[in-house]
Amino acid sequence: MPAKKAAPSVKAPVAEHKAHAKEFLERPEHKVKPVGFPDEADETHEAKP
Amino acid sequence: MTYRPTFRKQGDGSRCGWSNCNPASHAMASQRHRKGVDPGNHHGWPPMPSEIRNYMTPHSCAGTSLNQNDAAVTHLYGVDMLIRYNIPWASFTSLISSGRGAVVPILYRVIAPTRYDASPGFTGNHAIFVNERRASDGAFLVYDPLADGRRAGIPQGPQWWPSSLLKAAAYAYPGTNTSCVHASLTRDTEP
Repeated sequence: MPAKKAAPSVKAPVAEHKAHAKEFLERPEHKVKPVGFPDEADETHEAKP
Repeated sequence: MTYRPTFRKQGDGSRCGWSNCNPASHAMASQRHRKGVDPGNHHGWPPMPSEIRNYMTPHSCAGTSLNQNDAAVTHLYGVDMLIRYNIPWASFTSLISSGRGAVVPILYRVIAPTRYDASPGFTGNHAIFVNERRASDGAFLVYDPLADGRRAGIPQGPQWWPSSLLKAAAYAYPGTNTSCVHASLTRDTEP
């Protein structure tokens, strides 16, 4: 597994952001739904018209 | 310039409209993911909240999850979103800067006291679509499906939200680690 790198500066070239994105999206720990994450609650159940 | 999908409001008169923030956000994300190109199957195009909703829960208006919406847009439009949890803010910013859009779950209580509030009185969980980040001031172009300008005081269409506001609202979503956000990401559509 490649070494984890910190996110580039916001002012970094786009190529650096693309490289970070590619590496970050492979990290397995971010693919697992955390305990406490609402299964069905990410909705506006009570949005007011 | 970053591709911008058509804004879709959740209160469009269709079934379950006022609980369709996630389907509406995924409709916009799907159009971004495909840069507006029709997959050419027998489903509708451009993506609409009602079609996504009807695929998931044809007989109820129950809440839906990121995973359910991902499965729906994969089936309907061939759009395979990447769901990632507890993304540190710097990495989230980098992912958007890299050329991806994202559906982001937020807690609307954080938005309620601001001029970006598009549903006065609503303070619950919500989903929005984040299309891009502006380099000059770090603001994010947010497609809030509640922002339909239906009356005076309600924002209309995509709005540039300050980075601090998006961050605070995403941090506040239940089940989120400190200084992290959850997101369902489109593919990288930009050169």
